[in-house]
Amino acid sequence: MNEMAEAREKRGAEREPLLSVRDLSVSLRSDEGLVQAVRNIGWDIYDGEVLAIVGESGSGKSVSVNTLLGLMRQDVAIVNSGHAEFGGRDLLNLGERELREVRGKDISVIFQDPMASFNPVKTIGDQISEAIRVHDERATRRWAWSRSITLLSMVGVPNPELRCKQYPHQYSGGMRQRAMIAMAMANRPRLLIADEPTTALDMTIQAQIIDVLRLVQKETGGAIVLITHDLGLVAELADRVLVMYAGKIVESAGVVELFASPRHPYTRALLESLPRIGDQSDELRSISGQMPSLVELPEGCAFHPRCSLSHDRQLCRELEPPLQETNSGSERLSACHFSRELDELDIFDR
Amino acid sequence: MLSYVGRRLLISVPVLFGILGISFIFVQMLPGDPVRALMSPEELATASPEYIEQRRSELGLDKPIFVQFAAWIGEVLQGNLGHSFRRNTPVADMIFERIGPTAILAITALSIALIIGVLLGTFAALKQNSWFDYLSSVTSMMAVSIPNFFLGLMAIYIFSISLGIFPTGGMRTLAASNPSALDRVHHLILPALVLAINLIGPYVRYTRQSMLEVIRQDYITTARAKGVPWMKVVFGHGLRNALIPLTTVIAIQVPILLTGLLVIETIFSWPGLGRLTFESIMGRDYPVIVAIVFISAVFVVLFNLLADVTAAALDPRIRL
Amino acid sequence: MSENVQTAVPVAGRSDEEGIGRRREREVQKGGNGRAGQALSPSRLAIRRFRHHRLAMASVLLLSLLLLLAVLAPLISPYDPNAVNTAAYREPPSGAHWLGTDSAGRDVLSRLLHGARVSLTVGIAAAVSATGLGTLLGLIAGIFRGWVDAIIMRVVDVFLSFPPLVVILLLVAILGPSVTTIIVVIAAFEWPTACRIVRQVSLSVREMDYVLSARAMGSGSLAIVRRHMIGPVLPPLTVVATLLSANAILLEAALSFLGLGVERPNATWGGMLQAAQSMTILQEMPWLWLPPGVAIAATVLSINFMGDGLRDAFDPRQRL
Repeated sequence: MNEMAEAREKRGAEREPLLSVRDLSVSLRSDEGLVQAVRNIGWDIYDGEVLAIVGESGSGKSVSVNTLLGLMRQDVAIVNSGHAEFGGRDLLNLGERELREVRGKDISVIFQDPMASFNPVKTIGDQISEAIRVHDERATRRWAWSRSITLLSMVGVPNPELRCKQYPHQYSGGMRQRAMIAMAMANRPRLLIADEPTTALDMTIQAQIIDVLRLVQKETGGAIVLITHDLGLVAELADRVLVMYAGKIVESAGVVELFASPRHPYTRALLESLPRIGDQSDELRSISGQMPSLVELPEGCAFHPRCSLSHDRQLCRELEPPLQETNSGSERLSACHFSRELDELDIFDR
Repeated sequence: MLSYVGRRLLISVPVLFGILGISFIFVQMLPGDPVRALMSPEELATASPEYIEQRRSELGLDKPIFVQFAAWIGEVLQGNLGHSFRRNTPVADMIFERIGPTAILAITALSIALIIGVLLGTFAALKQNSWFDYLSSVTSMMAVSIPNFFLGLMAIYIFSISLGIFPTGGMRTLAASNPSALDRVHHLILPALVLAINLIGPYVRYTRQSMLEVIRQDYITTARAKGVPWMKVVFGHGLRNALIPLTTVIAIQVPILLTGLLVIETIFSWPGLGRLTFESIMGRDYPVIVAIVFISAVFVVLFNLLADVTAAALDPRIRL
Repeated sequence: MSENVQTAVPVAGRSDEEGIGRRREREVQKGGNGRAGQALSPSRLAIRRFRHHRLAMASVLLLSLLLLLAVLAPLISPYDPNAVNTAAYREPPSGAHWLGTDSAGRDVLSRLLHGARVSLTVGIAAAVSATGLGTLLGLIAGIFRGWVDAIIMRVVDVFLSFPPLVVILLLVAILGPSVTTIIVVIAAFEWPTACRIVRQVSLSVREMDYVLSARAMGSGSLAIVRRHMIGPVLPPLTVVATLLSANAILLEAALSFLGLGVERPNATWGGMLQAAQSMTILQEMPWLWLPPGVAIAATVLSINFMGDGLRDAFDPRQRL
């Protein structure tokens, strides 16, 4: 049984979640063997909420979400277990045809690299129109086109009539990402998945895209799953945060609490690695060591070889800590045997 | 777009010049007197030695080789490709007469090869490493390796002689004074298929490779994430991108197509340029062969141009 | 730096799925079998990969056998391939003549074995000369670049524009048929492929750090070619040479088939197939045309499979 589900059940669900993921495990085939990319994770997202999933690349955050929509390559990804309840249906149990109706209509995705994510040989207008027409048989070409123009202007693309007729390479990076958001919003999805939406962009453009995302969310009232490694973006947008490490959720908390006092040594290390204004040292802080190979995971806690808190304690080496409430009755969950010790440490001291 | 075509045309100029140069070398290599080669038989019959000398200096054949080259280019540009040794006609007329049947055969074969090749290549890529993929690879390799004349003979042996489904050759039933379109198609199928088989191999291979790359692209995932059905993603988004590099492959294959025409037209008695080439070689009618070689090369250059323009039409990024 | 590998967090990366893909690709490049592969040198790995390519290995076996038969042909042939025997006119296969006799009463098996000598000689010699010429010009273009490169590349374009069989037919017709002529003429029109590849590789090698530093240290062009370019050029060149020899064999066969091959009465596979242009032979005497046709197809197919195995062995990302 999933730890988080237990925790929630104990608390008693106040309202129905929009999407509820349980016990999801995904392996990926690679030449080194089966990669345990996602290991028994579970989470809920509610209407109007922005949930951030944070972690290093390879932590399983993208895999976990792409799996839900059936977007992983079938020859690579194997879903070992899991449910994903969305609107009374289990996404992981749907056939391709039913899942297709969910994709782009109820749940949309914004990808990281807006250059690679648009088809280079079709106009932006064609590509947005396609998103509309594929879910609405009655939509005429002309109607879809004019709706595309409206969508583009909504996300702040100037001169949208002309822009619709242009090809992706004629857009700047920021404009392309706006167009990407417009395309994702085409059918007013209830859930928007933003997979590293600002990573490929310049700092100034990033801020604009964040504004667009905020605006879009206010407009539609839908929920957003924000996949990112950028804690700055999390602070800007998210209500709640899940931290993933080596295919597992290691910490779950509201955004304010997480930044104020992380309850997992990995989260703490992530926060410490953030560059700060007034930081004296020039060097980029980093977490020493590498994420373990997901083919042969270490015994015990996956983070213990890099952990500054573990001090090589036997418990850390031998027992994988469950995700549990840090204090009984608390909303906060952490997968660390010694999460309480973190209070005693000053996170700004190294 | 227009400026792109213009620039591309400009690049072809030195190549066309090179083709003229090599063809001129061939003309120089030919046995016999070039003056006589350029004259019609009537002219030759009545020509006195003085007249021939006069023609020689008119043509500048007593001048340095470069002047001769220039003069020859002048003749070619005016459409004078010389006179046939064997027949009482200018070479240009003979070629013009035969170009139609060749075009029909070539276009049919190319279309068959493209449709089958692209479909096979696409599905091989979608089912990578399946038995279908493996089979299509091995089959297309065999299709390139079997010599076209052997393939043609076997086709005639099996389909014409043993099964009697198709005629053994020709463009139409000779007995019929006004052959129907169906009769023409009936004659066309076998040679076109044999010709196509030789071309399919590379199309399958490159479409597969190109498609394998394309379906790994992010925009394919985007299209899927929009809810577009997989086959619509493959043919609507994937194929057009995959076809862009294929235009170059088709252009590279054109000389092979022309070579195939020579052999297949000969075997199937198809009254086109290939058959004319064979007849001219058998009859040692050199001016005709040189002219065909020259025209083929020019055609290849033009086709390359067409391929680049097609690629530009398919890919808006090139059009700039 | 500490002894730990420092991983900057956050690490900018693309989606997790692609990470795996890239890792896999790198692993394959290293040798395909993970850690065990890292200890071996690239050439040893290529050999190992080639030996795992079953079709390629079978082809090498078949080609070796063919080479042996060709070398030993004078010893193992049951009859003199050119001995006319009017008593044995178009005899079907029998104990005395395993593959029957042709229209001049000559033993088909003996002619088949001797035909292999011609095909293989032309294939190997033409491929070697074409590759040699292409390599030389490609290196010159790659090293000197600028206008030298531009001129060579335009020449390549010009030569690639001519349909090979037609132009080779013309030249053989003018120069007279012989094995040497055929080899020279094929090489003269097949070198551009090798030239393009060598130029491309040498241009990209030029830009690599170790070559730049070698140039900075004052190494001459020749020294750089010897030390740095031979290595990277060799693998693609081997593949090209293989495919060129397959082409040359096909061209020679087509020439002979069209009646312009090696001097008569010498046996060639293409020449033997020529007999099948007669309907009677095609229809009633398959032993006269089936064996040489199968021989050409099997030889060319084997060479192509071998080339394919080599391509995979050198560059495993580009599959069949």
